[in-house]
Amino acid sequence: MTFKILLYTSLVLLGAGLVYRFQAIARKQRFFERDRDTLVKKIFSINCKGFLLNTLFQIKLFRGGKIRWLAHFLVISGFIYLVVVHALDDVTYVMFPEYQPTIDPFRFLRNLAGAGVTLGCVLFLFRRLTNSRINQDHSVQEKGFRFRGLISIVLILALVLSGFLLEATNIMSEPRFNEMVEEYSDLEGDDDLIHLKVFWVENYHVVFNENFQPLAPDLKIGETLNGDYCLDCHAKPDSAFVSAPIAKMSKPMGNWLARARVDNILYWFHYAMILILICFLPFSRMFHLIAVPLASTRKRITPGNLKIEMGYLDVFSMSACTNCGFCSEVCSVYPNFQITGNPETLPHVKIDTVKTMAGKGLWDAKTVGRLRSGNDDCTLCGRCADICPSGIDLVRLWKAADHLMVSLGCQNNYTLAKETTFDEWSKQGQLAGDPDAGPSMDLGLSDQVEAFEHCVQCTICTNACPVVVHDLNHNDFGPHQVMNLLRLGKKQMAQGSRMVWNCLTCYSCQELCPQGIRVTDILLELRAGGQKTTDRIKLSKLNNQVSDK
Amino acid sequence: MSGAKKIIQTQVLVIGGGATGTGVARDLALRGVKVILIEKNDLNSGASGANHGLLHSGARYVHSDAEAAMECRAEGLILKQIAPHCIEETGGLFVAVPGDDEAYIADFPRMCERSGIPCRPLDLKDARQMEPSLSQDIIAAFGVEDGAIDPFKLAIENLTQALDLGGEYFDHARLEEFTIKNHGIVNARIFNTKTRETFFIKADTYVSATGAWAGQMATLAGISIPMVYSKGSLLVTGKRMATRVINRLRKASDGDILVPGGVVSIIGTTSVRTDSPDGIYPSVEEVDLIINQGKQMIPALGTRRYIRAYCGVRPLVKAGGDDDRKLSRGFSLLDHAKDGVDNLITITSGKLTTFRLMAEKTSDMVCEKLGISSACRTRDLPLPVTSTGEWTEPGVSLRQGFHLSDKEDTMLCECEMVPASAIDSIVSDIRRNGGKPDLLSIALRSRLGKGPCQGSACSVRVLSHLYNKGEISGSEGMEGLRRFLNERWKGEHALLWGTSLAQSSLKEMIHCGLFGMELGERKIE
Amino acid sequence: MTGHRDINCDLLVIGAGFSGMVAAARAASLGLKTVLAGNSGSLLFVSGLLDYLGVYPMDSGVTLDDPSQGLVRLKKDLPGHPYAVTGHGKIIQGFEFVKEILGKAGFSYYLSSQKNLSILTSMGTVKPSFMVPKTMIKGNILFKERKKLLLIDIKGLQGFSARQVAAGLENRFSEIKTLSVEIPNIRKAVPPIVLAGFFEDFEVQKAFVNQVLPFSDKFDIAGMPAVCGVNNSLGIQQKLEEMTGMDLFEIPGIPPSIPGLRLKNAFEKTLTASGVRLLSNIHIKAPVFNGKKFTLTGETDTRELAIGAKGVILATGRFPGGGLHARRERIVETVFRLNIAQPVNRSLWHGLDFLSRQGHLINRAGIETDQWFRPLDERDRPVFQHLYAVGSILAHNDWIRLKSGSGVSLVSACAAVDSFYQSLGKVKP
Repeated sequence: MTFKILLYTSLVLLGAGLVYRFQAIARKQRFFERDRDTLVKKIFSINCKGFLLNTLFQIKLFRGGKIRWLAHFLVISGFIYLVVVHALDDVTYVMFPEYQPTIDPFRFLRNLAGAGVTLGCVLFLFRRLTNSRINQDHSVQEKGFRFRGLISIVLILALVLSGFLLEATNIMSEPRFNEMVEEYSDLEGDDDLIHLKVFWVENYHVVFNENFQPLAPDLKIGETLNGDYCLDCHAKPDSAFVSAPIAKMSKPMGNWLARARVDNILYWFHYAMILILICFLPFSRMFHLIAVPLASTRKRITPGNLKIEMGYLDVFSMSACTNCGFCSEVCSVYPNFQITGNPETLPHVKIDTVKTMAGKGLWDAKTVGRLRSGNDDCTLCGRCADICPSGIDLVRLWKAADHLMVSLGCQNNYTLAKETTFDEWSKQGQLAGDPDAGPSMDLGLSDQVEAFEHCVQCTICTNACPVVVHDLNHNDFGPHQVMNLLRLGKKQMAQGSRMVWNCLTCYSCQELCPQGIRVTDILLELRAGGQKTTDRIKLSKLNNQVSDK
Repeated sequence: MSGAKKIIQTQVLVIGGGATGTGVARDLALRGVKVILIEKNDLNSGASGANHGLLHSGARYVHSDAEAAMECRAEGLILKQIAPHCIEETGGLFVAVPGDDEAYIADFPRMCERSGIPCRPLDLKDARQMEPSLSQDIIAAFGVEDGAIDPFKLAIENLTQALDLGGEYFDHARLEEFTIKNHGIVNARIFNTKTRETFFIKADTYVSATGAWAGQMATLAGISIPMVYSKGSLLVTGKRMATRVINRLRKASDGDILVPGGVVSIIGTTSVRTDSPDGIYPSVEEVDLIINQGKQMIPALGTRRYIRAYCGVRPLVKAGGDDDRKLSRGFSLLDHAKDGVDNLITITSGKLTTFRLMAEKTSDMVCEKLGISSACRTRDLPLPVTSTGEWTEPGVSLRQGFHLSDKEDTMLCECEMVPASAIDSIVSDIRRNGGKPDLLSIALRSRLGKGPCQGSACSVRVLSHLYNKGEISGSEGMEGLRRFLNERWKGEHALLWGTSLAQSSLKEMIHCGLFGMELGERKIE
Repeated sequence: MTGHRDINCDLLVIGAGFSGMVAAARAASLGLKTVLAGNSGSLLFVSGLLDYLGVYPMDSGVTLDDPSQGLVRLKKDLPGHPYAVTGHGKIIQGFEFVKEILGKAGFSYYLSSQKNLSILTSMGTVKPSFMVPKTMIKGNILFKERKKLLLIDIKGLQGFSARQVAAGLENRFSEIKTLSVEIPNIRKAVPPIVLAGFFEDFEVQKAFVNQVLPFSDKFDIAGMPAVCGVNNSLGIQQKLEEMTGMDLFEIPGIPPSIPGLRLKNAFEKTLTASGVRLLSNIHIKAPVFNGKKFTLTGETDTRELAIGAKGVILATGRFPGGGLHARRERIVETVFRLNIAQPVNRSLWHGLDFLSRQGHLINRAGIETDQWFRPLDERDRPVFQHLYAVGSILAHNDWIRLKSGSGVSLVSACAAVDSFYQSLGKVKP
């Protein structure tokens, strides 16, 4: 009865948690541009194929990494079995009338599923703690992704392991044996009981208080009795290939365990874990169990699409992110991150920041500045969305985030850089060059004289540049002039030129340079390096606004 | 000679448009004296335009000439006061490398103290932190108060004020002959090498501020000044190598001073005796000597790209002249009354840093001759900032934001970023002063052709700009271009290797390969 | 050496300048499996005029009317000059070959039969040349017929002034008029290639024509900067002629040169079509010869390739192209470290007169070869059986002063490829 109450309470809590989460997402959605598609259109735009492939077969996960896919497969399939057949055994009894938890194949399968879940969780843990290159990076580490979701894994492990231990203690337990004898047999004399005990000691690993001398005739009788009363619904425990060995190993402690009724303790612990997991589900990493399938129903937009709205499901899909870092590993502008050290360049960090910020409705200047710079690095190549195992439409998110930041008064770096006068740029640039201002990039191409001093000012780069054609009537520098500015030691000014911020990275200039100068690479690097300055300019603008008021 | 002689009257004729000549012109003009300045080429075409552009702290001379050191110190302080826009107060270092005279190093602070020159010993690590390009091997370092001075801007600003005060200036005006009667010069015959006209200037007093040509000038008046010509070459790096002036801590020698000038650095010099102040050029041997010496202090000098070499002649008056009125060992001011020419004064030698003092002393002597009693005002009167001198400093267009507001403006010189508007304003200045613009005269007043390309493409762009504006016509352009290219070549040919050679090959491809500039008739001047 | 190669070919041509392009085209036309490695950007430095021999003797200061006559003297005077081992016939064949392959790619050239052509430059000087883009050819006839000339410049195009060109021509024409044409939406400097791109636009052509039309009655012929489009320049020029009703010709000027870009595009088109593999933006280094084949490393910004080749043609050019590198002490060849014939020290490299007619000795430094253009070592033996050097890198060849750059390039490229082909035991089809 107590148990029932607890169960229902936790289910209610689960429901409440889910409702909370769903409405929190609705709250987040308010920050973004609303998706104005009609419901019908939304229904028709459901991505069934993506949903099926990604939910049932986890196809993206499979492409991303076989071990992670295996771990997911083990945990999910094992868990499904355990939930359906083991936890909801009321249903199982109906479906399989001969079902007993203590007969095969159920006991074997339960162990198998448990072992699978355990192995999966161990793989998770292993990968999280050792193998996640990106999350171990210094500047990402402070985000604490490595340890996020660890609780869920530990809870699941605790649940499964307590199950195994429970089973093992049950196997050994004399009281349990006595209970079963009481319930299922009509043994009359003590002799028979002893015969049965002898047999169970030998074959069922039960540990009794008294010592038995296992004699062949006794065993024979025991076996017969066992066949009569027990075997129908209690197979030998050896098929419990995890619990039985544990039981065998723990034999020396058997009496103590029985006296302390550790089996009961474990029983309650096991249940407590279940209840905690249920309550905890909406608030933990496990929520992605719900979020991923839902996220997978959305059709992704192409990078060329100008959509900036976020539908409810799009916002919801952010919750499907597990910060696994797959996206960052393939990110086109990962090199920018290496230069700037700004973790907000990395998609898996960016999404987290957007998520928290939208959730809090709170935008502090420093974080937004970093997010702004990071998002400005993004070329919308779509590789992150391609690989995302959770099927999140990241391209849409980046566009929406960009729009969101602009609407909050935080301009795009390009716009900002283009609108900033050289004077202001140089001033702020010098300040941004302070050693305290962040990681320095003094080893870049733009600081190595050898990288640009061979420029002969032939202007071929500027002639080849598609940006120059469109920017013809602006007073700005062409690539060759940017190279010249570097020669003249005017890096700050070079960074402040429109050219640096308009560069399409088409590499025409670099391809054509007769002197073999890495023109595009230098422009890109200058842009990355200039972000510290744009951050400063933003701050100073913000301060100006404040002082104006 | 047919027709009436063109004679211009004035109180003083100053010969020589270098730092001293323009300085004398300004000094006299400020005292209310009517002065004409003539220059056979263009401003600063002698040693005034061919030096480090170093504003000496004086520490350089503490060993050889304590008096000159103190003079430098005093004048340096004055110039920083009156002409801050011509000066970059960089500060300077004296560093020694292994093998340098240790006794000299040990003596240095004491010698500085003796001359009253601030000098502070530096920790080697600190010195390298201040100037990261310094060699890891330096064994001693001292901080001094050196600075960088822009001699072109200085001369232009001096002249501009003299002109504003009623003075006159003729460039390309070669003094051909003095007419001497009764121990005095009656007039001077002048030939304009550009317009090829002859005219006369009649003055009360004549000042020869002709530097290395002082001997030749005196000969015209029948006087002999024993001159010694010492050629010094300097190299311009493609990029500024240090923020401060860096001196080698040893007795004055070759390749031992590195001076920053805007976005470039200048390393020099050498000392080579020559027979004449004309027709000199930096030689390959000198270039190699400077680099090999310089890289001991700053290793990057061994690998860096150089964009130009140039040289000047130090005008030295041979010692032992019996009654040379030596005001200081730094410069020579000669009153030729003793030689039988009453109204001729020669001022020569000296240093850029002390040009104002030289001008002051010369003007004092002129006023004494003219019986004028007004005092020198250049000691405290600031040198006005004018627009004429604004384009001489490397990288200046960057500071000006290259006239970003003007949407129609375009860049004509890519390396040094000289925009069309700058060329136009320089051209109108030249016109206002009665000159005729060509590539050389524009180059003198701006950074045109002074970047790494040494005039490969900018010359063509500026030329077509001038044709389009109607500033030049006919074959003037071609001739001007030839002169300009050859002038650039003087400073270029000795340091052509690596990228510079590639770039000069390109220049040859354009100007000889395509345009055939070496072919056809050529007027030889 | 592991023996692993990413690319295998018969002939590797290093250097994608004019001579490299010709060599690769020649090799492809003979059916050789060819790889061309190098940066073709340097073609934007060339004027597009293909010279044979413009000046000889150098100190004469006048241009040659008939290059073949100069050739006879040159062969006698300069036995080391690349022309000394080839005859007039071979040179003409080379020009014809280049004309044909460029024509196939849509870039039409006019090849003179015997006499040098006189081409007006943007400096107002006249350059002798032998094969010129058809868009420029009418400038040659100009000098014979003394027509009434209209000179057009374009606002925003720097380094080209009609007045300047006119000034150079002052005495040669009875009537010259200059005209500055404005192109819509260009308010300030426009890079020439961008401008040429604009000329492919009909609106721009119309604007140009409208401003020229008022003069088309009074003048017979008009000269304009070489910006008539990047692609289909002849077509655009003919269209402009049709619309204005007057003859037009292009005047070559300072780099970046549009005719150079047309050359580059045409070569790349024809080479790609004939199966040549182009490796651009690659730095070739570390050659190894195992007795049969060369293996070279091609280094890009991101990776390294091992290239195997039976023969190698070095067409890396001189100092601007990077084939030669001048250290402070001496000149070195950059890929194979070949022996370079050069003055003994740097003070001899250059004279004191930039525009001297004799030229500078450094321009005669380079690789000495045998008659099949194989580089020689110190003892005058070929360094490798199948290594050839072609183009401007060859010694005793001051092409700038002789106005013979393209001729030397194409004749050496063709001769080297032919001799490699024959040495493989193949006979020309």
